[in-house]
Amino acid sequence: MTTITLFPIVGEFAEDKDAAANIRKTLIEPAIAVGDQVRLDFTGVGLVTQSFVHALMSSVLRAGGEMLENLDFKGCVPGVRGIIETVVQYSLDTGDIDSDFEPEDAVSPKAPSVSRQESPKNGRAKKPSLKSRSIKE
Amino acid sequence: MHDRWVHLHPAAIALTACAAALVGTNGGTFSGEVKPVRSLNYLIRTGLFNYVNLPVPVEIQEHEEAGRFIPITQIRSNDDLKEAIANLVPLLHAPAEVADPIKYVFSEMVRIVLEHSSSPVGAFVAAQYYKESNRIAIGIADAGIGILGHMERFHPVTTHKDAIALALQPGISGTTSRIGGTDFNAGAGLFFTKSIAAFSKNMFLLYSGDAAYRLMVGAGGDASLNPDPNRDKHKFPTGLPNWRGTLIGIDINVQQGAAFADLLDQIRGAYRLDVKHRKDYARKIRFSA
Repeated sequence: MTTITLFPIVGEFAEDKDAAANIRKTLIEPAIAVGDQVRLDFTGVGLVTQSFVHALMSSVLRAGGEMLENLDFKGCVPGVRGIIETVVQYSLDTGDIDSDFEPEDAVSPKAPSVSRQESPKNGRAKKPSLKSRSIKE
Repeated sequence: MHDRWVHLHPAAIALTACAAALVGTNGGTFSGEVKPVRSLNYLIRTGLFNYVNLPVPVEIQEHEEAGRFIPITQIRSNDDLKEAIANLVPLLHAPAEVADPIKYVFSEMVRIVLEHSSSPVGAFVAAQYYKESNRIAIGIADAGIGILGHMERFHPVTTHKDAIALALQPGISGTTSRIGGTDFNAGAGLFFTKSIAAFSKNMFLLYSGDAAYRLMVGAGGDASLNPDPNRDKHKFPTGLPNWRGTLIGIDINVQQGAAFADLLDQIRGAYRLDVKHRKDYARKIRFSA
Protein backbone atom coordinates (compact mmCIF):
# COMPACT_ATOMS: atom_id res chain seq x y z
CA MET A 1 0.00 0.00 0.00
CA THR A 2 1.18 3.51 -0.85
CA THR A 3 0.64 5.99 1.96
CA ILE A 4 0.44 9.68 1.09
CA THR A 5 0.75 11.94 4.10
CA LEU A 6 -0.95 15.19 3.22
CA PHE A 7 -0.19 17.52 6.12
CA PRO A 8 3.45 18.18 5.19
CA ILE A 9 2.33 19.05 1.68
CA VAL A 10 -0.84 21.07 2.21
CA GLY A 11 -0.82 22.10 5.87
CA GLU A 12 -3.73 22.39 8.30
CA PHE A 13 -6.09 23.91 5.72
CA ALA A 14 -6.02 21.94 2.49
CA GLU A 15 -7.40 24.31 -0.14
CA ASP A 16 -4.75 24.52 -2.88
CA LYS A 17 -6.26 22.81 -5.90
CA ASP A 18 -3.03 22.93 -7.85
CA ALA A 19 -1.29 21.04 -5.08
CA ALA A 20 -4.14 18.53 -5.01
CA ALA A 21 -3.95 17.91 -8.75
CA ASN A 22 -0.20 17.50 -8.49
CA ILE A 23 -0.57 14.91 -5.72
CA ARG A 24 -3.07 13.03 -7.84
CA LYS A 25 -0.96 13.04 -10.96
CA THR A 26 2.38 12.26 -9.34
CA LEU A 27 1.41 9.98 -6.47
CA ILE A 28 -2.13 8.60 -6.59
CA GLU A 29 -2.55 7.76 -10.27
CA PRO A 30 0.87 6.09 -10.68
CA ALA A 31 0.24 3.93 -7.62
CA ILE A 32 -3.18 2.84 -8.82
CA ALA A 33 -1.84 2.25 -12.31
CA VAL A 34 0.42 -0.50 -10.99
CA GLY A 35 -2.38 -2.01 -8.94
CA ASP A 36 -1.36 -0.62 -5.59
CA GLN A 37 -3.75 0.48 -2.90
CA VAL A 38 -3.49 4.10 -1.74
CA ARG A 39 -3.91 5.39 1.78
CA LEU A 40 -4.53 9.13 2.01
CA ASP A 41 -3.44 10.22 5.47
CA PHE A 42 -5.22 13.40 6.53
CA THR A 43 -3.82 13.41 10.05
CA GLY A 44 -3.21 17.00 11.10
CA VAL A 45 -5.41 18.43 8.36
CA GLY A 46 -8.21 20.27 10.10
CA LEU A 47 -10.16 21.55 7.12
CA VAL A 48 -10.39 20.82 3.41
CA THR A 49 -12.37 22.44 0.66
CA GLN A 50 -14.59 20.53 -1.71
CA SER A 51 -12.51 21.89 -4.58
CA PHE A 52 -9.32 20.45 -3.08
CA VAL A 53 -10.77 16.98 -2.57
CA HIS A 54 -12.36 17.09 -6.02
CA ALA A 55 -9.03 17.90 -7.67
CA LEU A 56 -7.37 15.26 -5.54
CA MET A 57 -9.46 12.27 -6.49
CA SER A 58 -12.59 12.90 -8.53
CA SER A 59 -11.08 11.78 -11.83
CA VAL A 60 -9.66 8.67 -10.15
CA LEU A 61 -13.10 7.75 -8.88
CA ARG A 62 -14.73 8.46 -12.21
CA ALA A 63 -12.45 5.97 -13.88
CA GLY A 64 -14.72 3.36 -12.32
CA GLY A 65 -16.71 2.76 -9.16
CA GLU A 66 -14.35 -0.02 -8.15
CA MET A 67 -11.58 2.54 -7.76
CA LEU A 68 -13.04 3.46 -4.39
CA GLU A 69 -11.93 0.05 -3.15
CA ASN A 70 -8.33 1.06 -3.81
CA LEU A 71 -8.51 4.08 -1.52
CA ASP A 72 -8.28 4.34 2.24
CA PHE A 73 -8.71 7.57 4.18
CA LYS A 74 -6.83 7.90 7.44
CA GLY A 75 -7.05 10.40 10.26
CA CYS A 76 -10.04 12.38 9.00
CA VAL A 77 -11.74 14.79 11.39
CA PRO A 78 -15.52 15.08 10.91
CA GLY A 79 -15.37 18.12 8.62
CA VAL A 80 -12.79 16.49 6.36
CA ARG A 81 -14.75 13.28 6.36
CA GLY A 82 -17.92 15.12 5.36
CA ILE A 83 -16.24 16.72 2.35
CA ILE A 84 -14.74 13.40 1.24
CA GLU A 85 -18.11 11.71 1.46
CA THR A 86 -19.72 14.46 -0.60
CA VAL A 87 -17.09 14.36 -3.34
CA VAL A 88 -17.13 10.56 -3.52
CA GLN A 89 -20.90 10.55 -3.76
CA TYR A 90 -21.27 13.07 -6.56
CA SER A 91 -18.20 11.84 -8.43
CA LEU A 92 -19.58 8.33 -8.65
CA ASP A 93 -23.13 9.59 -9.22
CA THR A 94 -21.99 11.47 -12.29
CA GLY A 95 -19.16 9.18 -13.29
CA ASP A 96 -21.00 7.42 -16.05
CA ILE A 97 -23.07 10.25 -17.48
CA ASP A 98 -20.66 10.78 -20.28
CA SER A 99 -17.84 8.29 -20.15
CA ASP A 100 -16.04 9.73 -23.14
CA PHE A 101 -15.80 13.30 -21.91
CA GLU A 102 -12.57 15.12 -22.44
CA PRO A 103 -10.62 16.43 -19.48
CA GLU A 104 -10.69 20.17 -19.00
CA ASP A 105 -7.27 20.88 -20.35
CA ALA A 106 -8.17 19.12 -23.58
CA VAL A 107 -11.18 21.35 -24.22
CA SER A 108 -10.77 24.57 -26.14
CA PRO A 109 -12.88 27.29 -24.52
CA LYS A 110 -12.86 29.18 -27.79
CA ALA A 111 -14.37 26.34 -29.72
CA PRO A 112 -17.05 24.74 -27.58
CA SER A 113 -19.08 23.74 -30.61
CA VAL A 114 -16.70 20.92 -31.48
CA SER A 115 -17.92 18.98 -28.47
CA ARG A 116 -20.64 16.45 -29.10
CA GLN A 117 -22.75 17.93 -26.33
CA GLU A 118 -22.56 21.43 -27.79
CA SER A 119 -23.61 20.31 -31.26
CA PRO A 120 -27.01 18.67 -31.07
CA LYS A 121 -29.09 18.25 -34.20
CA ASN A 122 -30.90 21.53 -33.96
CA GLY A 123 -27.67 23.44 -33.66
CA ARG A 124 -28.39 24.66 -30.16
CA ALA A 125 -26.99 23.24 -27.01
CA LYS A 126 -29.55 21.82 -24.67
CA LYS A 127 -29.96 23.77 -21.48
CA PRO A 128 -29.14 21.43 -18.61
CA SER A 129 -32.39 21.63 -16.74
CA LEU A 130 -32.62 19.90 -13.40
CA LYS A 131 -34.85 17.22 -14.83
CA SER A 132 -32.54 16.42 -17.70
CA ARG A 133 -29.54 16.31 -15.39
CA SER A 134 -30.77 13.52 -13.19
CA ILE A 135 -29.30 10.10 -13.71
CA LYS A 136 -31.94 7.55 -14.48
CA GLU A 137 -32.01 4.38 -12.51
CA MET B 1 -26.75 59.45 0.95
CA HIS B 2 -27.14 60.62 4.51
CA ASP B 3 -24.72 63.33 5.59
CA ARG B 4 -23.55 61.45 8.67
CA TRP B 5 -24.89 57.92 8.83
CA VAL B 6 -23.48 55.64 6.23
CA HIS B 7 -23.20 51.91 6.50
CA LEU B 8 -21.36 49.88 3.93
CA HIS B 9 -21.34 46.10 3.75
CA PRO B 10 -17.87 44.73 2.99
CA ALA B 11 -19.22 43.70 -0.41
CA ALA B 12 -19.82 47.35 -1.24
CA ILE B 13 -16.37 48.27 0.02
CA ALA B 14 -14.72 45.51 -2.00
CA LEU B 15 -16.67 46.49 -5.10
CA THR B 16 -15.77 50.17 -4.73
CA ALA B 17 -12.09 49.40 -4.30
CA CYS B 18 -12.17 47.01 -7.25
CA ALA B 19 -13.85 49.57 -9.49
CA ALA B 20 -11.40 52.22 -8.37
CA ALA B 21 -8.45 49.94 -9.09
CA LEU B 22 -9.84 49.31 -12.56
CA VAL B 23 -10.19 53.03 -13.15
CA GLY B 24 -6.61 53.55 -12.01
CA THR B 25 -5.35 50.71 -14.19
CA ASN B 26 -7.07 52.22 -17.20
CA GLY B 27 -5.64 55.68 -16.54
CA GLY B 28 -8.86 57.22 -15.34
CA THR B 29 -9.22 60.00 -12.82
CA PHE B 30 -11.41 60.55 -9.78
CA SER B 31 -13.61 63.48 -8.92
CA GLY B 32 -15.95 63.99 -6.02
CA GLU B 33 -16.20 64.96 -2.39
CA VAL B 34 -15.61 62.80 0.64
CA LYS B 35 -18.04 63.82 3.33
CA PRO B 36 -17.13 63.53 7.02
CA VAL B 37 -19.58 60.74 7.77
CA ARG B 38 -19.28 58.85 11.04
CA SER B 39 -17.97 55.77 9.33
CA LEU B 40 -15.23 57.64 7.46
CA ASN B 41 -12.57 56.64 9.95
CA TYR B 42 -13.50 53.03 9.43
CA LEU B 43 -13.45 53.45 5.65
CA ILE B 44 -10.02 54.99 5.84
CA ARG B 45 -8.78 52.15 8.00
CA THR B 46 -10.09 49.58 5.54
CA GLY B 47 -7.70 51.08 3.00
CA LEU B 48 -10.47 52.20 0.64
CA PHE B 49 -8.73 55.46 -0.15
CA ASN B 50 -5.61 53.66 -1.23
CA TYR B 51 -7.66 52.88 -4.33
CA VAL B 52 -10.18 55.73 -4.44
CA ASN B 53 -7.89 58.64 -5.14
CA LEU B 54 -9.81 61.43 -3.45
CA PRO B 55 -8.73 63.77 -0.65
CA VAL B 56 -10.24 62.87 2.70
CA PRO B 57 -11.00 65.39 5.47
CA VAL B 58 -7.98 65.84 7.70
CA GLU B 59 -9.93 66.11 10.92
CA ILE B 60 -12.25 63.32 11.78
CA GLN B 61 -14.57 64.45 14.52
CA GLU B 62 -16.07 61.21 15.68
CA HIS B 63 -14.82 57.68 15.69
CA GLU B 64 -17.18 54.86 15.00
CA GLU B 65 -16.68 51.58 16.79
CA ALA B 66 -15.73 49.51 13.81
CA GLY B 67 -15.15 46.21 15.55
CA ARG B 68 -12.84 43.71 13.98
CA PHE B 69 -12.35 43.83 10.30
CA ILE B 70 -10.06 42.74 7.54
CA PRO B 71 -8.76 45.65 5.49
CA ILE B 72 -9.29 45.56 1.75
CA THR B 73 -6.95 43.01 0.30
CA GLN B 74 -6.10 42.68 -3.37
CA ILE B 75 -5.42 39.09 -4.36
CA ARG B 76 -3.83 38.30 -7.69
CA SER B 77 -2.17 34.94 -7.16
CA ASN B 78 -2.19 31.68 -5.27
CA ASP B 79 0.51 33.01 -2.97
CA ASP B 80 -1.53 36.15 -2.26
CA LEU B 81 -4.48 33.95 -1.32
CA LYS B 82 -2.43 31.80 1.02
CA GLU B 83 -1.07 34.87 2.74
CA ALA B 84 -4.55 36.38 3.05
CA ILE B 85 -5.93 33.19 4.60
CA ALA B 86 -3.02 33.05 7.02
CA ASN B 87 -3.81 36.60 8.10
CA LEU B 88 -7.54 36.07 8.22
CA VAL B 89 -8.20 34.21 11.43
CA PRO B 90 -5.79 36.06 13.75
CA LEU B 91 -7.40 39.33 12.69
CA LEU B 92 -10.81 38.03 13.63
CA HIS B 93 -9.72 36.42 16.92
CA ALA B 94 -12.13 33.63 16.14
CA PRO B 95 -12.03 30.06 17.50
CA ALA B 96 -11.62 27.22 15.01
CA GLU B 97 -15.29 26.27 14.89
CA VAL B 98 -16.12 29.82 13.90
CA ALA B 99 -13.17 30.28 11.60
CA ASP B 100 -13.66 27.13 9.52
CA PRO B 101 -16.68 28.20 7.44
CA ILE B 102 -15.14 31.63 7.01
CA LYS B 103 -11.83 30.26 5.78
CA TYR B 104 -13.73 27.86 3.57
CA VAL B 105 -15.85 30.52 1.88
CA PHE B 106 -12.94 32.91 1.58
CA SER B 107 -10.75 30.34 -0.14
CA GLU B 108 -13.36 28.90 -2.46
CA MET B 109 -14.70 32.22 -3.66
CA VAL B 110 -11.32 33.81 -4.26
CA ARG B 111 -10.12 30.72 -6.11
CA ILE B 112 -13.14 30.98 -8.41
CA VAL B 113 -12.13 34.54 -9.19
CA LEU B 114 -8.48 33.70 -9.77
CA GLU B 115 -9.26 30.73 -12.00
CA HIS B 116 -12.23 31.93 -13.98
CA SER B 117 -12.74 35.68 -13.95
CA SER B 118 -9.78 36.95 -16.04
CA SER B 119 -9.94 40.03 -13.86
CA PRO B 120 -7.17 42.49 -14.73
CA VAL B 121 -7.02 43.65 -11.12
CA GLY B 122 -7.51 40.28 -9.44
CA ALA B 123 -9.90 39.86 -6.54
CA PHE B 124 -10.70 42.41 -3.87
CA VAL B 125 -11.85 41.11 -0.52
CA ALA B 126 -13.02 42.79 2.66
CA ALA B 127 -14.58 41.42 5.81
CA GLN B 128 -16.14 42.75 8.98
CA TYR B 129 -17.16 41.20 12.27
CA TYR B 130 -20.35 42.65 13.75
CA LYS B 131 -20.16 42.07 17.46
CA GLU B 132 -23.79 42.73 18.34
CA SER B 133 -25.23 40.37 15.77
CA ASN B 134 -22.33 37.93 15.97
CA ARG B 135 -21.86 37.64 12.28
CA ILE B 136 -19.05 37.92 9.80
CA ALA B 137 -19.71 39.74 6.55
CA ILE B 138 -17.44 39.05 3.60
CA GLY B 139 -17.29 40.79 0.23
CA ILE B 140 -15.37 39.61 -2.81
CA ALA B 141 -15.29 41.58 -6.06
CA ASP B 142 -13.56 41.23 -9.40
CA ALA B 143 -13.56 43.17 -12.67
CA GLY B 144 -13.37 40.21 -15.00
CA ILE B 145 -15.58 38.69 -17.65
CA GLY B 146 -18.55 38.19 -15.36
CA ILE B 147 -20.60 35.07 -14.85
CA LEU B 148 -22.29 35.31 -18.24
CA GLY B 149 -18.94 35.69 -19.97
CA HIS B 150 -17.72 32.58 -18.20
CA MET B 151 -20.80 30.39 -18.49
CA GLU B 152 -21.74 31.17 -22.09
CA ARG B 153 -18.65 29.40 -23.42
CA PHE B 154 -20.16 26.01 -22.68
CA HIS B 155 -23.81 26.67 -21.84
CA PRO B 156 -26.63 28.21 -23.86
CA VAL B 157 -27.25 31.24 -21.68
CA THR B 158 -27.71 34.72 -23.05
CA THR B 159 -28.64 36.82 -20.02
CA HIS B 160 -26.81 37.63 -16.83
CA LYS B 161 -29.74 36.34 -14.82
CA ASP B 162 -29.80 32.95 -16.51
CA ALA B 163 -26.03 32.66 -16.19
CA ILE B 164 -26.15 33.39 -12.45
CA ALA B 165 -28.95 30.88 -11.91
CA LEU B 166 -27.01 28.23 -13.80
CA ALA B 167 -23.75 28.93 -11.98
CA LEU B 168 -25.48 28.40 -8.65
CA GLN B 169 -26.61 24.90 -9.57
CA PRO B 170 -24.36 22.14 -8.23
CA GLY B 171 -22.48 20.20 -10.87
CA ILE B 172 -22.61 22.95 -13.50
CA SER B 173 -19.18 24.28 -14.35
CA GLY B 174 -18.26 27.05 -16.73
CA THR B 175 -15.31 24.97 -17.92
CA THR B 176 -17.32 22.22 -19.58
CA SER B 177 -20.82 21.31 -20.62
CA ARG B 178 -20.46 18.01 -18.82
CA ILE B 179 -22.63 17.55 -15.73
CA GLY B 180 -20.37 17.13 -12.73
CA GLY B 181 -17.58 19.24 -14.16
CA THR B 182 -14.07 18.16 -15.05
CA ASP B 183 -11.26 16.55 -13.12
CA PHE B 184 -10.30 20.00 -11.82
CA ASN B 185 -13.61 21.83 -11.50
CA ALA B 186 -16.77 20.39 -10.01
CA GLY B 187 -19.03 23.39 -10.46
CA ALA B 188 -19.97 23.23 -6.80
CA GLY B 189 -18.21 26.19 -5.20
CA LEU B 190 -21.02 28.71 -5.41
CA PHE B 191 -23.60 26.12 -4.33
CA PHE B 192 -21.57 25.27 -1.23
CA THR B 193 -21.14 28.93 -0.37
CA LYS B 194 -24.82 29.68 -0.83
CA SER B 195 -25.57 26.67 1.34
CA ILE B 196 -23.30 27.85 4.14
CA ALA B 197 -25.09 31.18 4.13
CA ALA B 198 -28.49 29.50 4.09
CA PHE B 199 -27.74 27.21 7.00
CA SER B 200 -26.51 30.08 9.11
CA LYS B 201 -29.68 31.90 8.04
CA ASN B 202 -27.85 34.81 6.65
CA MET B 203 -27.33 36.81 3.51
CA PHE B 204 -25.87 35.62 0.23
CA LEU B 205 -25.57 37.93 -2.76
CA LEU B 206 -24.26 37.21 -6.23
CA TYR B 207 -24.16 40.21 -8.57
CA SER B 208 -22.87 40.18 -12.14
CA GLY B 209 -23.80 42.18 -15.19
CA ASP B 210 -27.21 43.72 -14.61
CA ALA B 211 -28.56 41.00 -12.34
CA ALA B 212 -28.20 40.12 -8.67
CA TYR B 213 -29.34 36.99 -6.86
CA ARG B 214 -30.01 37.49 -3.19
CA LEU B 215 -30.89 34.61 -0.91
CA MET B 216 -33.61 35.67 1.49
CA VAL B 217 -33.27 33.57 4.63
CA GLY B 218 -34.09 35.43 7.80
CA ALA B 219 -33.61 34.32 11.40
CA GLY B 220 -36.87 32.42 11.40
CA GLY B 221 -36.84 31.51 7.76
CA ASP B 222 -36.64 28.26 5.92
CA ALA B 223 -33.06 27.09 5.60
CA SER B 224 -33.83 24.25 3.21
CA LEU B 225 -31.61 24.06 0.19
CA ASN B 226 -32.47 23.49 -3.40
CA PRO B 227 -30.17 22.69 -6.29
CA ASP B 228 -32.21 25.14 -8.33
CA PRO B 229 -31.62 28.57 -6.74
CA ASN B 230 -34.95 29.76 -8.08
CA ARG B 231 -36.65 27.42 -5.63
CA ASP B 232 -34.98 29.06 -2.63
CA LYS B 233 -36.60 32.11 -1.13
CA HIS B 234 -34.82 34.85 -2.98
CA LYS B 235 -34.86 38.11 -4.88
CA PHE B 236 -33.45 38.27 -8.37
CA PRO B 237 -33.65 41.80 -9.78
CA THR B 238 -32.36 42.69 -13.23
CA GLY B 239 -31.74 46.01 -14.92
CA LEU B 240 -29.26 47.00 -12.22
CA PRO B 241 -26.24 49.16 -13.00
CA ASN B 242 -24.04 46.97 -15.13
CA TRP B 243 -20.96 45.58 -13.42
CA ARG B 244 -18.63 43.85 -15.83
CA GLY B 245 -17.23 41.50 -13.22
CA THR B 246 -18.73 39.68 -10.29
CA LEU B 247 -19.53 40.60 -6.70
CA ILE B 248 -20.15 38.09 -3.93
CA GLY B 249 -21.46 39.08 -0.53
CA ILE B 250 -22.03 36.63 2.27
CA ASP B 251 -22.85 36.88 5.96
CA ILE B 252 -22.07 34.01 8.30
CA ASN B 253 -23.53 33.73 11.77
CA VAL B 254 -20.65 32.92 14.11
CA GLN B 255 -22.74 31.74 17.03
CA GLN B 256 -24.64 29.04 15.24
CA GLY B 257 -24.77 25.85 17.23
CA ALA B 258 -24.32 23.49 14.36
CA ALA B 259 -20.79 22.33 13.72
CA PHE B 260 -19.32 22.77 10.29
CA ALA B 261 -19.32 18.99 9.82
CA ASP B 262 -23.06 18.87 10.44
CA LEU B 263 -23.54 21.65 7.95
CA LEU B 264 -21.59 19.68 5.36
CA ASP B 265 -23.82 16.68 5.96
CA GLN B 266 -26.83 18.78 5.12
CA ILE B 267 -25.20 20.18 2.02
CA ARG B 268 -24.47 16.65 0.85
CA GLY B 269 -28.12 15.86 1.40
CA ALA B 270 -29.11 18.80 -0.75
CA TYR B 271 -26.68 17.72 -3.44
CA ARG B 272 -28.37 14.37 -3.60
CA LEU B 273 -31.67 16.02 -4.38
CA ASP B 274 -30.35 16.80 -7.79
CA VAL B 275 -28.80 13.48 -8.68
CA LYS B 276 -30.71 10.24 -8.41
CA HIS B 277 -27.85 8.07 -7.33
CA ARG B 278 -27.94 4.33 -7.63
CA LYS B 279 -26.01 3.62 -4.47
CA ASP B 280 -25.00 5.28 -1.27
CA TYR B 281 -21.36 5.36 -2.23
CA ALA B 282 -20.35 7.35 0.85
CA ARG B 283 -21.07 4.30 3.00
CA LYS B 284 -18.48 2.32 1.07
CA ILE B 285 -15.62 4.66 1.86
CA ARG B 286 -12.89 3.12 4.01
CA PHE B 287 -11.98 5.47 6.85
CA SER B 288 -9.31 4.46 9.31
CA ALA B 289 -8.07 6.05 12.51
